[in-house]
Amino acid sequence: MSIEVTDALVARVAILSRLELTAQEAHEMQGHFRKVLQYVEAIEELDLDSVDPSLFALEASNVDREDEVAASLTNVQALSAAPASEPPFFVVPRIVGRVGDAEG
Amino acid sequence: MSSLPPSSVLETRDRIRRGELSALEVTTRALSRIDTVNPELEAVSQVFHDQALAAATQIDRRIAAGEDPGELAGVPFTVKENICTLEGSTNAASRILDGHASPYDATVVRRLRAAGAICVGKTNLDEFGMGSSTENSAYRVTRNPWRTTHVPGGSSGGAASISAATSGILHLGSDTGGSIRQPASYCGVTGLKPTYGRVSRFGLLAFASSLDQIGPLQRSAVDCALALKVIAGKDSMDATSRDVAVDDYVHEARQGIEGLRIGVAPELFPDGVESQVRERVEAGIDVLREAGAEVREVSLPHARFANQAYVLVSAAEASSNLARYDGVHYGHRTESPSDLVDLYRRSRAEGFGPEVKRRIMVGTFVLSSGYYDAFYLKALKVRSLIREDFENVFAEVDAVVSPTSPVPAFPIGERMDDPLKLYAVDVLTVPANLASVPALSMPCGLTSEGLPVGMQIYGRALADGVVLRLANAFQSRTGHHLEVPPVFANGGDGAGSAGPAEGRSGRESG
Repeated sequence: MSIEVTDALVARVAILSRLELTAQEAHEMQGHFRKVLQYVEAIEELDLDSVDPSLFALEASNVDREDEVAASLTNVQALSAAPASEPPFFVVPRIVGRVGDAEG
Repeated sequence: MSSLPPSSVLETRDRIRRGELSALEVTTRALSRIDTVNPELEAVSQVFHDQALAAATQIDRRIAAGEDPGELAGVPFTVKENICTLEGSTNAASRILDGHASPYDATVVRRLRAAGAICVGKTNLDEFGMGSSTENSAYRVTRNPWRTTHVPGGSSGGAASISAATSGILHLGSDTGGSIRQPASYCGVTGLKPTYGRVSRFGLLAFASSLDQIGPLQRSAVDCALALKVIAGKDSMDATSRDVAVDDYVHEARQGIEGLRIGVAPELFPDGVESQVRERVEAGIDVLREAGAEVREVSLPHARFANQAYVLVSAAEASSNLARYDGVHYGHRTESPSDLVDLYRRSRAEGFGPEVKRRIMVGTFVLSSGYYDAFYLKALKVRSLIREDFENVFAEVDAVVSPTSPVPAFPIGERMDDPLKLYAVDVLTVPANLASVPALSMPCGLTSEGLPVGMQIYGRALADGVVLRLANAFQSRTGHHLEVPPVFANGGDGAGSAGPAEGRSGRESG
């Protein structure tokens, strides 16, 4: 599959990746994408139509077990690594508006 | 205090058991040795002096009280910085986890502690395990003890470097595409990537979950066997850990290899393999033949596509796994974000290093709408072909032998200008991760420049013991694994130093 690695493509992937890239980083990333796409082109010579993908690293099936109560991290422990918390919650910027705030 | 330090983990363990050494003596020496060599190597990122000495005192008390403190009582250990410990921080060599304190121990750490082993420190790596030289650490560049201008390999470069310059300490690294075996090769130690699922990954900061596996880097195969015996086994915290009995790998490693069949695949000796590497590995295969193994040619026709599949699959999984570092749940958070998405984007931009960003971007791209079938799905199909190759080969032979890396250790900085040049050194190790089979690297000689060469042994899934048997048979007949870096041979304070004479005293009999 031949793909043109445009500025827009890199910008879109950066949004999906939740990464803010500087102009310099975006430029370097474009070059890196081109190299990687060129490198993986080798697999195009394989006929893969009838091959099943390896979706799992090993053969395994679900195993039922008893639902037993066991010790686990407390809420405070689980929050201990968070950069901002008010137990029992993680603190994040406001994601919903206040009553009376303008729409959007 | 004995002036002759024990040289292997097994011997250290036995001498503590026999009362010839106390856990406190052994731990004190291990800490002292690390303090002596580490300023030059920058291999160990954190040393836990107080906690380790307290734990050792506790073990000695239990021994004095007639208790059995476990299989590894008094043995010091280190873990890679991407393995969670209650001591210190667990930062995966990333700024995004600067100062991150884990509220729990990884299962492997819990098992080592339960066996009486003592955590003395943590070792450097490429950020989140992404790299082959340990130059991608956000904190320090680790050096190769054989030549300190050269890389130790990666990503478990810290573990490999300190393993080569010390003795009697157990070291755990992790391997996603060769991150135990390639640094073991570059630093002249023995490194085992166990079968996928043999060792719990709980508490290992995930890079690519279908490929990651924790394993030991030691001077000898027997020490790797001892480590594996303690850390292997089903864990309810890791659904992919296999519910299969754990063998006595030390006992198994000591069985002969008469009649075992070894395959040599031309695809794992590609043109890029340097002539000296090829020669040392071929000589190593001759040693296995003399030890009773039958050698025959086999074919892994899709091995030459393995690295391409690996680049795509590992990046895809990384992009998903690293989504958790969002400035909310752990680690770094940007100042004054305008909204939630701004918080994510800037926290991650500030926290991740360049290689991690590249992998997240490539992984996100190959999973994104319109490109999934063209890249990710194809890579998974190639993975199937590689697995089939190994299934076919293992119907004929018990193991496959190859070089670990096409080249020996290279100078620091040499491959940093082009990530693809760095990816190329993984070409002979990634097939094991894609096929979920065990593989080990062990030293098989030095180049004319005095750099170690690693020979790799692949085995069937769950036949980790067979791999260890072959390695031990080799090490029973050769002394490559006992060679120590000249600069560190008579090391400093003599505490825990592994000079050649001492090294040989710890040589395992077949």
